[in-house]
Amino acid sequence: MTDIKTMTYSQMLEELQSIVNSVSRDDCPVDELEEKVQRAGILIKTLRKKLKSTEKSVSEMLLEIEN
Amino acid sequence: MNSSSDFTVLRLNQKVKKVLQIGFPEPIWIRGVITGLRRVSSRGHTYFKLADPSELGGQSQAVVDCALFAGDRSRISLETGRQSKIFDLQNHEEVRILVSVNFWDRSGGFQLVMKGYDPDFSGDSAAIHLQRLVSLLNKEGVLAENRTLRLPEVPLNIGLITSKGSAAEKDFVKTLEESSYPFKVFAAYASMQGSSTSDSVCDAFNRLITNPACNSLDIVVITRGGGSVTDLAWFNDERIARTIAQLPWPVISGIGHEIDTTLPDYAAHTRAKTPTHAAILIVNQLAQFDDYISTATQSLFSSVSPKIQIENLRINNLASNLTQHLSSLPVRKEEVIHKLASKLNIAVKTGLYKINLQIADIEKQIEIRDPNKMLKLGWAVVRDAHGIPIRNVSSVNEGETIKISMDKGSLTAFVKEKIND
Repeated sequence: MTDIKTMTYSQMLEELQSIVNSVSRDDCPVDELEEKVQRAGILIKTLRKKLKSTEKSVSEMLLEIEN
Repeated sequence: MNSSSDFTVLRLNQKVKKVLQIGFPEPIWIRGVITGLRRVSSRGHTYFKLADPSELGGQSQAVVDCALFAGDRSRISLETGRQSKIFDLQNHEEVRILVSVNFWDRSGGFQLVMKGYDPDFSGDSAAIHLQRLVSLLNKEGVLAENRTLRLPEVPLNIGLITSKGSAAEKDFVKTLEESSYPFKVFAAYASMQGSSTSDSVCDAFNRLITNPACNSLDIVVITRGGGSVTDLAWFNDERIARTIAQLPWPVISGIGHEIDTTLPDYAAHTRAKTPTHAAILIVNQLAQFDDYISTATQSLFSSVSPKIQIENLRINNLASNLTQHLSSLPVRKEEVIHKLASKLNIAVKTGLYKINLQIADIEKQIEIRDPNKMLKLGWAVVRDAHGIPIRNVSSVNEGETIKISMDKGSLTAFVKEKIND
């Protein structure tokens, strides 16, 4: 499993999509379910954090440019 | 053959001189264009050629050597000054001068010696002189040189050439300060009036070039307030134009008022009407860039914002899908277990039923073969003397004692006769 710290936004999004697909198709073994859901939770949290931080820094940069 | 009537060179020269003196007993006024001007600083004399005006770049139809001796120069300068006029001979300048026609009998040289100067003609001819310079320098490409430089979009560092503490400086700096932009002005002060103008201005330009602090200059402004035509005429010196042409920065020239035009106006990148106008041009240039940045920022913001929203929506959708699938997952897994349990239940019940049937069958068979029941039906069991059942006749001998078991008791008997079937 790739370390999330080294992953790009697109890679994280792709893995999250893959987990959701796997869970929706019922082909995810129950033994792995807990681990996958945990991973999905971390991915969602990291993606939101990344997006928020991007939005914040973009707004700040634009404000800086405007001023 | 010798003859006393022969001329020596000196005699010829003296004769020519005398003829000229008779022909030109008094100094005469002459008009022409000054070329080849050179000053001999050690003696203070000035030498030049006076030529008939010609088409620019073409040969003058006639030229004559002229001399202005130091004494005459001081006197003419003083006389002109009394009339508040300038006396400063310049190359390419068309002048009206008073000259005595002179012939040097020793050297045989013909020369005009300047004795007077018509400052009014020169004033009138200032425009002609300027046009002459403009045409000449234009032909050489000097005037177009500075205009090939790109006016910076953000001209914050400004080199300023003007007179120290002048109204021009104050107007220029005040207009910059009234804008909200952080301009930096590097002043190189110069004398903006009088005969030292050209030298002083060129020196100021050179100070900007050689000053390391001015490496970051974006633009240079040369400016002074209004004045008389003769005041401003000091700027019509080709050295200033040639210096501007060699500068690495675009130059804004704001000399005099709107109606005034001087050579730096032609040589500069942009002409400003006044010192204040020069500052306004720079402020406007920056304001234009400011507007562009503001528009670009808005445009950038309006394109980034939806992108962030779309990504946000995508993550939320995935999170929602995951939650939905996960909440129904235990039910789906439970259904699988329930189905398996049902199948198991049915299988177990079917198996037990079959076993029961088999047991019943076995019991029935056992019951059928019970010896007591057989005895009651009339069957008997024959055993030998040792109690071993006799299964056929061949196992018994005649005269042998046998025991016959039957319902409710047994009999001991002797075998009297064997009869085989």
